Amino acid sequence: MRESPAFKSLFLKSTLKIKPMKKILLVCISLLLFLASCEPDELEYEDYRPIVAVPLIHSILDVYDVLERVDSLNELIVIDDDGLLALTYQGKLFSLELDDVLNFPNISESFNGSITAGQATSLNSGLNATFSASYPIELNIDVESSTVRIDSILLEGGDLQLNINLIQDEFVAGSLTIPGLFDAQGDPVIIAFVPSDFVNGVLNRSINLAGYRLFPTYTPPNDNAINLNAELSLSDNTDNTASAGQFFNASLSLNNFNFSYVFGYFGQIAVNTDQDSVTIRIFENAIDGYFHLEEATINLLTTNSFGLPVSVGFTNISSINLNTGVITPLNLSESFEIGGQETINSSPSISNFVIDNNNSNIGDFLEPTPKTVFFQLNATSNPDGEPIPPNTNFVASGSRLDVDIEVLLPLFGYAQDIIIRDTLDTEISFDDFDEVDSLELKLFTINGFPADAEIQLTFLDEFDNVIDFLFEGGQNNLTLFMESGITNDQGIVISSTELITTRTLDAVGAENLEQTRKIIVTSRLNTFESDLQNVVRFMDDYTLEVKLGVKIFGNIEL
Amino acid sequence: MRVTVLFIALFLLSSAWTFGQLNTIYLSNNEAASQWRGNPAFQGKEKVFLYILPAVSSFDISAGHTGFTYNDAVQGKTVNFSSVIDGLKKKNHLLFENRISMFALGLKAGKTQFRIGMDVATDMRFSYPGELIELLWKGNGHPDVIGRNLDMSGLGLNFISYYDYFIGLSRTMMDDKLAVGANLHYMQGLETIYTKTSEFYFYTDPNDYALTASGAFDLKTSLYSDTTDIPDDRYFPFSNSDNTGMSFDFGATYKFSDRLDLQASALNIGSINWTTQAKSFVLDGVSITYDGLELDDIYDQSDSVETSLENVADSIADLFELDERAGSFKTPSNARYILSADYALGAKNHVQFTYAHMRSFNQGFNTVVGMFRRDFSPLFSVQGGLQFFNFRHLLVPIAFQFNPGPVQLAVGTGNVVSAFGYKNMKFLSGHFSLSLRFGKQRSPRVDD
Repeated sequence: MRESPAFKSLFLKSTLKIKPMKKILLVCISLLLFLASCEPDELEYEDYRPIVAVPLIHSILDVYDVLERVDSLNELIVIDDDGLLALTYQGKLFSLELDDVLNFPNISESFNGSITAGQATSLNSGLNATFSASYPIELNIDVESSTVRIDSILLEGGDLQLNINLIQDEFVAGSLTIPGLFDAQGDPVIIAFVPSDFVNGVLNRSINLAGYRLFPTYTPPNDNAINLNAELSLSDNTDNTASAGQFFNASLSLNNFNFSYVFGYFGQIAVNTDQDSVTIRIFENAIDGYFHLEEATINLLTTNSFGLPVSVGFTNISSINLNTGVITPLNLSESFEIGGQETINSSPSISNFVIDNNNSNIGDFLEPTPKTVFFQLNATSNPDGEPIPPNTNFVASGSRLDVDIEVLLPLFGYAQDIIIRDTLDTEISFDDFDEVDSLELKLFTINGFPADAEIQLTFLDEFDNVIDFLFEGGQNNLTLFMESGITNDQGIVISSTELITTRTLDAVGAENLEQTRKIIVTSRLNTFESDLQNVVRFMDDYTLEVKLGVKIFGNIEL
Repeated sequence: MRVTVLFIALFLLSSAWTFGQLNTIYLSNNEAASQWRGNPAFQGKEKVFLYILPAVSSFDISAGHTGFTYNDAVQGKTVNFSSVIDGLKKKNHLLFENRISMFALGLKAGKTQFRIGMDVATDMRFSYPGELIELLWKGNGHPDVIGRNLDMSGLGLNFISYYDYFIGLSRTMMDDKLAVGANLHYMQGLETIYTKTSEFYFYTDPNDYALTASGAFDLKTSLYSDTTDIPDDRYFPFSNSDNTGMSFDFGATYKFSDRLDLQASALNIGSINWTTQAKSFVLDGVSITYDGLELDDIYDQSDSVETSLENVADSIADLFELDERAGSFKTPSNARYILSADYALGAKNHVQFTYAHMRSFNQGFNTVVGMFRRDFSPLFSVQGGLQFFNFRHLLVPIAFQFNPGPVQLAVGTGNVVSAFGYKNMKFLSGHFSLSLRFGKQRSPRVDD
């Protein structure tokens, strides 16, 4: 419901125009009769019944103005050279970001080393001993896929923390090598140390991994692992007596992994989106009617910067008429494929999936004055399996997949008996109408649109009782106030049509209006020759000129 | 102080709403005032004449309304505006004119007549277009009005009051067959309202009621807006040298035969330059069309409807706001051009036919008059006839003249109908003249 005191003010202002006329006239009459030497006191005056004509409204509405009044349209666009218009409703259907697909949790691995009894004896006798070991460290990849193979990772950030704790206080020197981890210069990471690097038997080392590269090995069942190779030399500490068994334990953690890109194969990742919707507001207040568009298109615009292909299927697409609650499903069996970004430095892969009459029942889907369209999608990566080498998948730190929806409704079709109803709150005072006999409203339209429009106003009192109508015949008796322009065989208007509608409001009508608290505006739209199902086109140069004037029939006692 | 009051009273008296038609009495009798109100070629039959206020003077007052009569407006006891409107012309005028001789002295020597004198004069014309009254009565939406381009041009008030100091002479020649004369007037303007330009048009479109108004206006005034600013001697003769002007009268008579005299005169040709409190209220040509508010103003913002209407009204008001400008200006004197033929039917009877064109603040009026005069004796004569003012309005002038001794008394009216049928009259006038004359020529005995 909308408040519309505007009309009240408009009428009041119009009727007030009579009063200055009366004053001027009385002055003139008095003057002239005085000069004519009459005796005004003894005279009677005939009633003063001027007819004042006042223009109230003059607007030239273009197609954008008109559609804005029947719809909070997002956008109206021209879709061909002739100026055919289409309504578009755009929105983001869903987005998939890197975190939704692939995560590298922190890794922390512990390991230890032991010496034999012979090595202990050698150490106690002052001889050296050597120790070699290799520890595999699996990358813990969080991904909804059974098969993931990481070929390489370029790290943007991350920390490597190494801790060695000597259990036996012997002198230890050597190095830990990670052959799958290379620094920014391309050298494998080697952590070397000497006995003096230990403080109280503890050695801590850390490395900032920014710019480092990881080359995990993929040897099922150990997925995507890197090895840590230890080559140690032990020498005797005379203060300590070596014994067989564990002589150190250590831990290696990789934290805060942040990567620029990851190459490999990520398998068939399955994603199910939440249900989303797009509301088509045209004829939001329509309560009945048949609305047919010759063409309608739903474009699913995808932008994929993942380096992997995705197949999108439709879990559910349906429209619901918000007035009737009728749900209409869209019959669309096929899924659509989204290519991956070709290379790490190329542009995202953009594709458009079109839902139209060729692959769906979209005509039926949008016919019954649709209001809200619901979408629920599912997506699977690498629908065709692992790419053929040397092709691989990749993801980058900014990789994402966006699916935007664009509902395109070319205004090319016909509408039959679209009934639109709206209710306005109003309060009209006629205190200033004492000297007004009646009002005659005159609506003059020059319609360049291919549609007829009929209207009826129903006036309700404060208890919602019907007390009057603008035109006789009841709420369902609508009066034509806009006659369609004439169209050619392509449905394009070639000449505008003028129509004058008048309505006289007498004293009784004015009294009814004074009690009016609500006005129900009922209108019916029919495109040109819609009964013959003739299609019309709405072009961007259509205009509707509206002029509203009022004649005020005064009755003033002099 | 008493003298001041007397002059102000005299001024106000002369400013009373009066006026109009051609006073034909001066063309067919030998009153002294006819020498500056009829034809400067006229000569008196006396050696000396004298007017001096208040004892002896010449006084003319006339009024007229070209629009409607009382009976047009009132039928029974009811004011019938429809009948009023039917009786209105495109332009309608309320005309007033008043002349009072304050002093005049004439001397005749041989063939030459000298004269000098002073009048106080007031002219007024209020004009209103018939279509304005029709618009106000019927409204712009009435079927008779809507779709017509209403011409309301000419709406305006004109008023002038001035002292007229004059000197003149006439002389006969060609054995008295031809007489020529001229007067020179020096005018001291007192107050004026002068509507120089008044053009207004109003049109209501029958389809959408769009209103189009256009117009131009130039109103000039020389008035004191605050009476306390008026100098005490403001209305005294010779009281100031502001608002001065000059005008001329020219005239000739020719005795074509013993019976036929032809007369021609041009009177009051000149202007006054107004400088005291001189202002102009000017509206340069403007045109505006209002065809309603934009739908957005009504639909989107309820508050803006009232604002928009007020803005429209303000815009229109601003467009038609008069621009006040100070500065001197000139008003034309109300000239008259008269052609007349006097034919003697015998020694006692004369008929006279006159055509006159009269200017009233740039508005022209024409009149034709037929008069008959009978001299019953040297002491008494009567004039009467018919006048068609503006070729349309019938008037019945009548006058009587008495010449007892050194006194000449003339009384008359330009429309005797006004005395007994005021409800049908549009014009009234009164003429009174009392002068002293000395050295009259002996008139021949009048035998018919």
